[in-house]
Amino acid sequence: MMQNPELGWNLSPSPNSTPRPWIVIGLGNPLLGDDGVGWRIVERAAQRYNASPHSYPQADFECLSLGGLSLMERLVGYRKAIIVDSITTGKQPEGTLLSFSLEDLPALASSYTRSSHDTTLPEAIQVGRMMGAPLPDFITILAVEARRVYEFSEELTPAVAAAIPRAEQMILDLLVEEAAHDLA
Amino acid sequence: MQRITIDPITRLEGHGKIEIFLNSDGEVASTYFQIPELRGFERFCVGRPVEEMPLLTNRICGVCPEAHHMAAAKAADAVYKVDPPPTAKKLRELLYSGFYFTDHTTHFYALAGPDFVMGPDAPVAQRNILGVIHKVGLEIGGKVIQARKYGHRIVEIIGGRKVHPCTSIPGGLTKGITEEQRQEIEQIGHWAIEFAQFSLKLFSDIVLGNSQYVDLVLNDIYTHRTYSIGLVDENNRVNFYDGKVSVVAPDGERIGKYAPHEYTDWIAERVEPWTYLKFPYLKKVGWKGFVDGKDSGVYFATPLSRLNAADGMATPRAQEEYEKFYETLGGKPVHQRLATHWARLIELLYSAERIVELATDPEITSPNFHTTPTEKPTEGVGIVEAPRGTLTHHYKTDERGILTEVNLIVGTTNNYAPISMSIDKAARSLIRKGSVVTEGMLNMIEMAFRAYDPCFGCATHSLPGQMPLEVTIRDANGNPIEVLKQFCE
Repeated sequence: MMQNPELGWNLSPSPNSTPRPWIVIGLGNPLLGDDGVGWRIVERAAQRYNASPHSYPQADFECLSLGGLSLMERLVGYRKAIIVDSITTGKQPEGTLLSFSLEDLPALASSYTRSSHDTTLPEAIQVGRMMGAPLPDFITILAVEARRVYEFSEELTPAVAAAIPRAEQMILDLLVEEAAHDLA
Repeated sequence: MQRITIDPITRLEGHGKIEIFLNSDGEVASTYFQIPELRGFERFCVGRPVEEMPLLTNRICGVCPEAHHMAAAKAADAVYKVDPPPTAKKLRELLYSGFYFTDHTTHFYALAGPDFVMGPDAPVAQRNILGVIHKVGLEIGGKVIQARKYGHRIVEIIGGRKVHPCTSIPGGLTKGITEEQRQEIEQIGHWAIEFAQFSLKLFSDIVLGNSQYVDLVLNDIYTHRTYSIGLVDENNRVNFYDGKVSVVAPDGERIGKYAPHEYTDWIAERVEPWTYLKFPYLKKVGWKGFVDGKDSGVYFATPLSRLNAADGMATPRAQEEYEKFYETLGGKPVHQRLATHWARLIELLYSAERIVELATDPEITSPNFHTTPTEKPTEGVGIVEAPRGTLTHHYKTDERGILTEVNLIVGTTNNYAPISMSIDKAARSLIRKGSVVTEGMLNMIEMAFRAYDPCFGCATHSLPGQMPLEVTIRDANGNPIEVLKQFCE
């Protein structure tokens, strides 16, 4: 077995492995039209955060094109997470901003079909927890209803782009609110 | 006529669904499998510098960015007519072996495993990776996670970052590896060999040790006699990164091998009115429809086809497994598509052994990892084996290296015709006159295409992050008379 401490999870957390407070992840494919909206939102939120980091709790920002197990692996070591993505429920107007907890995601997506190439995030989180990985106990999802996610383009449709400022503000508000909540 | 639809209902109409039409007797009349198509990638690329392609194409989808990165890098080498130095080729192959190790591990434990470990009829809520871990033990779950982490680590060391590598450029790589990094990779490789052997043992115990599963694997439901293709080295052994594509007939005869730039002499694409995606087939054999046999140009490109198309594996332990595979299954080629899961594990072992071989190659830490291109760019083709099929990138540029034309044939596209045939055969075999369509039955139909590990990359991006399936049985007028959901709304 490898002995490299960089590799493998610390299955029994030591005092040296204090989890980091927040990770904010923009998900999606920045080349696939409105699927890139999560990246745009998180990039802008990160810019505002970096302009006055002392106004907020400590947070890392990342943009990723991952799902399932790979996404879960990126959440390891954080206490709280915000995941920002496009969503295609087909039931809301384009640009609608939805906010829900990870626990509510299975209601929107099957957590057990096996047709795609990876597991769902809720399933992956359960796998991680089973393995003792230190995963966030708070995962909020911010999603923007989108339709045009199959066509290669770096442009967003206007309705989807219009959701960006509100979503960005929601992220920053959430960081502040949760920090206040923690203090209380 | 009745109609059954297996449909990703949170997605737009017309993307990624299976439709099964029943006749008035309740038997299958016809089936259609539609794959979601990413539109406009070629147009998106035209006008950009070819050097951007290894970075741009690895954003096509989140499932196999490393494969696109490699195919793009090789096509860009060809565009500039530059031959990367041996160290660059070996480092790219080493990165690629790390990627294969992760990808094949994930498929077996998260996707294929549940059908066999839990059983095809197990309740859907248990037929997943969590069920597998519950049944085989937490320790194995830990190993799976560790295997993924090690594979990602190799990609990160050579490719500059996890998952989406960024170091391949025309003529080689932007960086090499240090002796310390080499040692780390070698250590991972030894662990990987043990893990792969362990996985093969698990397969042997669970599947080969259970006569019901052996019957299922050998069942005619999951058997198709089509051509096999796969990349081979100069000794006709399986190779994921380089070589020629070997084409082997259903009777085992090799009808030829083609170099990347010859792909248009061998592969043509068939258009069908009911789907946007084209069906690649062997040009030299011709399109005879969705049928088996030596006269039909339908081919498949998967771990199983790669083993069939080769004469063996290039590493000793994988070669032993290769021999055992064909001895057990009655000689070459093997046409039982569920045997693909076994073939994938033999490739897993090969990738692990290859990691050690390359990590201990005396040239691997050489600083000679790039050749500066000097020729004018024109046109080039790059081919690698993606885990789910032969991946071809073809670029044309102007004299400044600006792309004027791009054509990609991606892994799953190769298998579009055989997957359609497998679904059709499974549906016809399982859905009989008067039979009630059960969830277990639908899963067995899904198993027909899961063996190919089809990648709906685009479906993994937007939430919900996976393609839920719905089955609707319709009467002769198209009205739903029963809806079976593998999905909770």
